[in-house]
Amino acid sequence: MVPRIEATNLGKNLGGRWALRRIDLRVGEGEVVGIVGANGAGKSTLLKTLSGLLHPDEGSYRVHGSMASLLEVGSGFHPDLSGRENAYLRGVLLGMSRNQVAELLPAIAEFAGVADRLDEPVKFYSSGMQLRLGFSVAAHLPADVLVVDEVLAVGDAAFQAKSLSFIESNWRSSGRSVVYVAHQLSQVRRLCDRVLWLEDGVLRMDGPADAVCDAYLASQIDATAWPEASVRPGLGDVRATELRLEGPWVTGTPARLTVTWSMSKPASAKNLDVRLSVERIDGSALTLWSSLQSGWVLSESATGCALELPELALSSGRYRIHLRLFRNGLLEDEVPNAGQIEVQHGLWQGRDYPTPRPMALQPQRWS
Amino acid sequence: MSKLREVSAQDPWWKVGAGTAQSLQVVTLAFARRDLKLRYTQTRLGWVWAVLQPLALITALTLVLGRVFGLPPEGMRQFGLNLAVALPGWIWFQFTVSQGASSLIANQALVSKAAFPRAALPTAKAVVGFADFGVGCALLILGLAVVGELQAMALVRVPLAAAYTALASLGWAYFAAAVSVRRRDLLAVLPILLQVLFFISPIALPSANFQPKGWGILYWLNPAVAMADGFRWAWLGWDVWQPAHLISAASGVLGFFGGLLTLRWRSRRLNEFI
Repeated sequence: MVPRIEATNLGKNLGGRWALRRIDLRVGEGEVVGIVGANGAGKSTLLKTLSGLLHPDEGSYRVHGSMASLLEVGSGFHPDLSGRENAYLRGVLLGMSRNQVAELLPAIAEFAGVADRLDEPVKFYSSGMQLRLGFSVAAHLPADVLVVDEVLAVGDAAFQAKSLSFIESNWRSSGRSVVYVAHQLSQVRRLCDRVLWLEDGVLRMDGPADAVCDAYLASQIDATAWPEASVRPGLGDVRATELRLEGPWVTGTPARLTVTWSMSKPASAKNLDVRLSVERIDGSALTLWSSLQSGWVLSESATGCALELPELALSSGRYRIHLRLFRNGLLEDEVPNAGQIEVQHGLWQGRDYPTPRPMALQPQRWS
Repeated sequence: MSKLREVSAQDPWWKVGAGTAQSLQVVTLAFARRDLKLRYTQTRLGWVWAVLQPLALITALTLVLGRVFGLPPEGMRQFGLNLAVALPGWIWFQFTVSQGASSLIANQALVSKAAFPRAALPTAKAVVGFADFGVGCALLILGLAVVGELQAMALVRVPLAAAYTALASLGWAYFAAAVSVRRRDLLAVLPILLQVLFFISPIALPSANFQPKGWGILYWLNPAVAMADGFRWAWLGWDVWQPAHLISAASGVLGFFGGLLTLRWRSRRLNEFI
């Protein structure tokens, strides 16, 4: 596979601070690579450097083929000029000829939803229309590599979805390479094969999309710190004190965990329901482990219980446990990110199991 | 695999354009087209202003300065001719320098998102100014024909003087555009500087008879001296040349390359400050 982008030891110093350092990067032909990281981690600096807007202070990079950059697409239109004139200028600046723009203009205007207002000055457009036009011009550029910076974070939900599927169908499926920065990890997971995680300007992780997104999310959420009991929701007569995830966490094998709590006044634990919701790192729920639903009745003075899972029905990956304590149907306590588990790959029901991403498994009998 | 773009931190500073998708010429024309479209938008008279502005300026300057110097009618004619042939060039020079200087900052939303040759923005301003200059020349041809001063050699000489004007003004425009991105003070100083330059250049008045010695050298370092006298030589055939004009002309030509190199040298860092 020919690399479209190849960066070696790339570094950029902005205002005396290394915004980017020691970046080694390869983007292959037809590869869709996402970049995640906190604000100021160097994502935009990396894209601007690769786009030729910033000159590296260290290292080098090569780009094979032409590149289209979707950076801050919504701004830079001249208010007094028509949408058509602005589209021409933008297209030429990005590397098209006027004839090429003329050819693509109907498709550009159609996608942006401004076809009937193309000859109006842009100052009469809404900001959403300007954004759509800017995106549309840049996205229609016939280039080999597309560099996208957060464009999809702005605009309304419908346009975000439309843009995302445009990139999927026009870029991804035609084998062109894409480098994509986004805050919304769901978009990154959907679009990207590989993800880079930048932290303080250096590459912290480079790997398959789900693995990197999970690790990034896990780092965002401190797994050990529970909020103070006084600020947690619920009545508070019963407060969880510890969730001990003993494991071992291997798909298809027995696992164990314990929950302990304290009771402030003479309350009875008899009607207590310990609910553990198993979620992906991004917070989407997969399955529920509930003491009440499994028919377990606690003794009145119990201050803890254990859960034995005969066969861990989770595929490999990272999960978080959302803990809730209910008594008589009322919420007593809640810790959304009470603990995290890293499930190792194992046989499920005696067989290997495809695991594209963390998910709940289910004993099945087919006939 | 159509093209390969290689950029390294070790690249020498004059190697620019590695990141650009378009040639200087294509981008300049695109910006010039836009700016010409915008030149007189939302005005009632439109391009008539390109005729009215120089006419009004010539009339006002001739009347006021002629009165100040107490010129007789024959002197007024000479004075008016002297001014009229130099003025379109000066207006163009001033337009290119002042507009070109702020062109990068005025278009920062485009500069920050597309890697095109930066010199295109000031150069496009020179193209726009050239349109006004063309209108001025047309007026001048009419006027000179009426007073019987139109000469055939102007056909060859005026383009030469115009080419020099373009070079000299672009040099300053490139330099000012490159520097003002970082130090915007320049944009505050520039209008004053141009105003002073108008009075110390032989635009309204004939060129001074300074010797290029001592402080006199400062006068001759001004590229507008060669420009204004160049137009007198071109339109009217006046023999205004002194050896010192070479200093002024060299300052204009060297200024062009100096400005171009400055912009090139700063190009790499422009986006860090814009």
